[in-house]
Amino acid sequence: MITISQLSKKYGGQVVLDLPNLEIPVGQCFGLVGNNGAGKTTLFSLILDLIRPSTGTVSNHGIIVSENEDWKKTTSAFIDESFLIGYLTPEEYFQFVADLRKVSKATLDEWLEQFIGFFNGEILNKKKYLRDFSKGNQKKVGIVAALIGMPQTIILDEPFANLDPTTQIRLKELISSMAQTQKTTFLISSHDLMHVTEVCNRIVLLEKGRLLKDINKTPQTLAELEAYFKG
Amino acid sequence: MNSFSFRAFNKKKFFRSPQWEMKLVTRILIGFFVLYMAASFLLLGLGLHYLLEKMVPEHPPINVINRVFIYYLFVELLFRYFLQQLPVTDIKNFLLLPIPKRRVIMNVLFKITFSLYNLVPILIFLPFSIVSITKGASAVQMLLWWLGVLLMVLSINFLSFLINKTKWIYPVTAIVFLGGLLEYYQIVPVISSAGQAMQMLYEQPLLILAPMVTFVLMAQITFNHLKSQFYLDTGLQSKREQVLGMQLHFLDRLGEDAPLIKNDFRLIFRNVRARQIVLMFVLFLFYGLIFFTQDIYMDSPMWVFAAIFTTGGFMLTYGQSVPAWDSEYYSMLMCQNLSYRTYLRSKWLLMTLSVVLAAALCFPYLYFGVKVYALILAGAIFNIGLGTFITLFSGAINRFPIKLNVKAKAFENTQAFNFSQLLFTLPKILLPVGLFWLGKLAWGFKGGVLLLTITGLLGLLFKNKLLDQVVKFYIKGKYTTLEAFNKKD
Repeated sequence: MITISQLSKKYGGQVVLDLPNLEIPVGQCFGLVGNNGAGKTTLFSLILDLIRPSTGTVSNHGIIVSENEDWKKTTSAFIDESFLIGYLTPEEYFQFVADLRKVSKATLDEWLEQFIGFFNGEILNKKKYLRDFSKGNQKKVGIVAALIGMPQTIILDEPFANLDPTTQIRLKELISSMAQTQKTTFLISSHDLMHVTEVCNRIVLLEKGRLLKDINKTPQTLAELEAYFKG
Repeated sequence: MNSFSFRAFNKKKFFRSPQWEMKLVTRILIGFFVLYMAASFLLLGLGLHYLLEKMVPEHPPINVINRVFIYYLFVELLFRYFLQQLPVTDIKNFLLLPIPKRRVIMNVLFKITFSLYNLVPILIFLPFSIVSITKGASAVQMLLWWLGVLLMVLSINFLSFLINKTKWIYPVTAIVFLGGLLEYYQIVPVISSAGQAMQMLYEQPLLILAPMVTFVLMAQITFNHLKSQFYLDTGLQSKREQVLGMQLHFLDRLGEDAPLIKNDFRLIFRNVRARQIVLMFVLFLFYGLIFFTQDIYMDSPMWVFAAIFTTGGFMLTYGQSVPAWDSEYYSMLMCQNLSYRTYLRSKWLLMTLSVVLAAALCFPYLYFGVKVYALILAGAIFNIGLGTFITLFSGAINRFPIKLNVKAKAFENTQAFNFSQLLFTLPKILLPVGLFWLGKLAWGFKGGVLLLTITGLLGLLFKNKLLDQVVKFYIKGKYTTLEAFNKKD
């Protein structure tokens, strides 16, 4: 569960995010949409304590993230390619994350088997460093690594971008099944309205740092969002 | 087109880079250093004539210089190869713009030619020539000779640029050594032939044509080389490398720190920049040989200096960029199930292991006496107990991101070890030297060694407390560090 109160972020005099309060309950698939500059990545960075809030707090399962590091035990994320370690092979990278999450090698190997389809034969046993992979394949590795060790909260920034259509569909299935079977909380931002409405049960629309809509998904949600973005 | 200028781009690049204020300060300090060096060279140039007259009275100074000039050129090449920073131009941005390739390349050539290193022949040999003229040498002969020297040095400069990313320096070194040997055993007089050639250049001013042609040729070759690099798939493409297999199971016994230390091993051996650290580790092991072999340094603070460096080479070179090595994926580390404490403790452990390994490898220094090895051990204990923590502190302030993946190509700068980084190491050296000096003042050599050891042991005793402080310091700077690392330079 993530609780946001009086959270704001200013750069110079400019407010880039201003959220009086927002609560994301356990097991929710939370979708974040908005045009460039709406504050999506800023919000994720604040939740991950990567930038300092100008006011307010984010608390993750009752822990205020800027004061205590313990939230890291239950949370994982993939924001962009800077989350990858370029000089490792995908196997080593998975192992590194698994080691930090106290997942044994045997468990990891077994767990990775379910992703054989997702990887499409392009990731494992390639004897290649991550820095030499294409952007799409790097993304696959980053997303899968974020799922290692069954974290309770998973944050994915633009997970569908750069993926090929087959992988996009597989990723949607994966997220839905994890959210259902393991009660994982997902925070997903996307420019792809169709994917995000399909996979999430709540959509929040940001505009210039402010919350404009907070929608519990209905069959009309996609049309509603499209109407907004048409302007 | 008139508004376009490489100079303006470079200016912007400097002033808009993260932490440019810090860079400016180091530049100013470097500026002073350069001035000092320039003054020294100038003095050498002015005095060279008299010096040689005194040392080798049977030959005119110019003949002496000519004879050894080939060695001078070789030393120039070595220095440039290992120290000179290559000019960097971000040419990728210009590939599709309507700017003639010729112009971009000429810009690089100019940058190569107007390097500070090229002032050396002007500062040394021009005053020398002028002094020689006042002593009665022919002005035409002397000045043309100097011009020849300048052109040769500039040609060497191009040569060092061409071979900088290759391993050609080693065969060249071998050839010079072979030449020296052949000369020494009087088989083939290679070196003295080179000396005679230089002498002919002096005596027959028309021969100035030879260095001129060489210079133009070298410039042309460099030009062609740069031109051939001008495609995305040659000079600018990063080549895929073979994976260096590293299982590193032996590190598993380190427990919680194992994954991070394994990662650091991979970092060090798989990245161009980081690989230099291994070289530094080995080179510094031999550092003591400079000081422990000479009587004038006996018991002096210079010994401490040497002792700290012999075991601390890795600690100093790796540690001064501690979070920066991880700059490319620092945000990822900050989101992992990994506390700052574990992260920093693993870095401390890695540095400690390197010092212990170095201290063990320094065993042969016993040859120079128990005293020497005792000092090395004391220095090692100081390094472990205190040096590591000071290094971690200084690393936290060093927020220049390191591009690990910088590939060896003509337009990129891969020289990681430079003077500005050296400046940061000064306090780490002065403290132990001071401690030793104090101890020695009070209780003699043994007192100095003892004071160093005790300080180190105290550091070890309060290891957790010190680590707490380091952790606090890192957490305090977390957002600033992340911001600096995430800035795309």
